[in-house]
Amino acid sequence: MRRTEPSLKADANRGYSLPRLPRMDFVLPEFLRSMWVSDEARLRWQPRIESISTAWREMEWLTVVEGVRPCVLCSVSTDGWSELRNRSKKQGLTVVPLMVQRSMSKGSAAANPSAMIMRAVIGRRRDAKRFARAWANLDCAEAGALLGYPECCCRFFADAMRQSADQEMLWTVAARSYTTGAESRLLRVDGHPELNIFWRYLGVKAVPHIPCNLNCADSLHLAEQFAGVGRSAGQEDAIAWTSEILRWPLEWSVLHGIAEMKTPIVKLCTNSVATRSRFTIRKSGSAYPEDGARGVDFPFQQQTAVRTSRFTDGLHIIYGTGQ
Amino acid sequence: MTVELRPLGVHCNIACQYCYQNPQRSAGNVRAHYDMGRMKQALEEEGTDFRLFGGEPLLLPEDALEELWAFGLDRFGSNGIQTNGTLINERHIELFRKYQVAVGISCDGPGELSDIRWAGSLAATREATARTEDAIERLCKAGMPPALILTLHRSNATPDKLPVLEQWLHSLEQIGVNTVRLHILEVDDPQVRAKCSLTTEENIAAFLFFARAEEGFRTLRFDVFDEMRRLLLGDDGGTTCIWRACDPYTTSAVRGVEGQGQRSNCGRTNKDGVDFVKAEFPGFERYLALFHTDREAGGCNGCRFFLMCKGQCPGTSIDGDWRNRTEHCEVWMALFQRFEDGLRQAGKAPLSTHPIRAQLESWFLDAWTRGENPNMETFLAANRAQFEG
Ligand code: SF4
Ligand code: SF4
Ligand SMILES: [Zn+2]
Repeated sequence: MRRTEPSLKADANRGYSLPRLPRMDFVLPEFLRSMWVSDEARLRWQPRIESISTAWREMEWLTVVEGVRPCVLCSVSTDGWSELRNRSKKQGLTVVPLMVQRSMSKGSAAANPSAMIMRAVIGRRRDAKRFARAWANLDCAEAGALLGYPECCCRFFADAMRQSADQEMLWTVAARSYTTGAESRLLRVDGHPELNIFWRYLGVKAVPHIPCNLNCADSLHLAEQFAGVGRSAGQEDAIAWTSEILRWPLEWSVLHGIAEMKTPIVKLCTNSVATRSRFTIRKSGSAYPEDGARGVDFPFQQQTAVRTSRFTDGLHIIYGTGQ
Repeated sequence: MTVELRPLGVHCNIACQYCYQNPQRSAGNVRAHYDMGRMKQALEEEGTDFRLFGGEPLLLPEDALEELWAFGLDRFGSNGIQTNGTLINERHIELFRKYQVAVGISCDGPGELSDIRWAGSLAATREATARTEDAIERLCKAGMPPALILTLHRSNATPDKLPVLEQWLHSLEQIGVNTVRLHILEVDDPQVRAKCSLTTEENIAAFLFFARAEEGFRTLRFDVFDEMRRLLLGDDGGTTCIWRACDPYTTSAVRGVEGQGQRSNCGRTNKDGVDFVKAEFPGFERYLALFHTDREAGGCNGCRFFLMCKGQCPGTSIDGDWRNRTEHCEVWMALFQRFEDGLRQAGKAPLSTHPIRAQLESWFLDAWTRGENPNMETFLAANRAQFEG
């Protein structure tokens, strides 16, 4: 497989056009549900994933305290609001609210319509105010720069919003990360593990943003800075688990507005673009968890030794060897 | 809801070419160890009667069977088993009687008609089938006629075989069998599909054959036809899971309890060969999506039978992808059409052509969006006057 800088088609107006998934004209409500491959895998990994999410929120905030970047965008429940404001104030940071949105904590937004969360930006007063203005003006470049995102990724994000806000960002990024498969319905990608963006559904990530492609060097640098801040703050376990998880193989696919992601330990489904046919991304991995499942196909580890013709060898006797 | 207890997982004594559990076997996920204490604890937690399931559950030692059924009768008042029937002996029959075990037997017909329930060689296969036939007779003689599951395929349901199968069912009716569930062959393996599957036209012809033949039976019923007729009249209480907008992440109609007490889903959705643990919350996205997706793209948009069928069992979806409708759509549609005609001729107003259908569809879409899975009956009871005109 070749890893290259993105291959982009020329476009007279915008410089290039992004890959698009052909879509139908309906949108499913928001949902996110998951099933574990075994109780053992759930007991081991669910608490780890939860602690990764908690550690990540802290790391995001700490990168602003440590001056790695000017601002952080965060989501906070109404209960956690005053605590966040107080501890930010102690570090000389201001919290500026941006919007209120529904929480997706119970499988489907519709199942729990009353849970609300606040989106807010935190930074030094001047930076936070500048961010709030950029947010209101939909100025992706300025907002992205204040969040410390690489310039190439900000440019990509702005283009993606302009050209295909109704598209599936995971597909757009994967299709740009692999030159020869971009028009196919099956993309096989690898890319830097730290830029594996598929686990974001469960809050596992090494960068705060959507990178412009799965090999973006500037994003990789940002991932290293985040991990450095996390380690200094005693988050070694969360960083090691994140690094391990992001190295596992996974398959993501979308059909009829439902995306499904299969990983060695958990499978999940969520709302996405309503495509007429199935589009699949297979992300290769360099590690497999001990308690990962055995299955018959990618991304599961296959036990070729036990594959047997026991179920089919009678066919030739019953029906003969022809079709 | 059925609790399926699988002490030996998918471990089986024969190797049906078409078994939907084969992906799990191919993946090497066959756990043939059980822990009686853990299983009982899990069953207590489920709190309802259970059915012994496999693989082949009669591979369990007789004292283990007795212990489980004594427990089942004591706690829940009844027992059940689904078996291929090849291992049933006199002691089993005694146990069935003593512990009130309702027996379901999977068998595809007499002699060569069951050849794809492969037992290693042709002679062993025929011998196994003969043992199943014999077990059915012995159970009937003992006053415990089993319910049959009969899967239709090239060995038993081509035009030349159908009359043989019908004849066999008449002979079973005479000795007391009165419930038969017809299954369409569910195929995961392309080799099996090519060899064993009926074409869509052959499947339709076979099902229509039995729909016509049904009148010639006195007591024996094909329950799938009864359900389809009831569904067309909005009577969906108690219909089986395949018509009930089954969520493949929770398969609420089937709760599996495995040998170590682990909970699992219905194995029909198990295309990866992985025995997933149930998701925490149900969701009905498949049904919202199928309603809006046109038929060429694998959906059900515009189908007047959607309320009854809902794209059918996700374990039978096109390409093994639960987001598609069933790959047997044409068969179900042809049958719904036939029963719809029959009902109209009998002066009844099937829902499929009733003016209330659009309203009922929106009511379902709203409920699914809220994460609920209602009954048609509930809506129709509240709108009885409009429904009955
Ligand atoms: S997957 Fe199919 S057989 Fe299994 S519970 Fe759902 S509808 Fe029933
Ligand atoms: S008959 Fe076919 S199109 Fe109609 S609801 Fe059933 S599967 Fe969908
Ligand atoms: Zn970049």
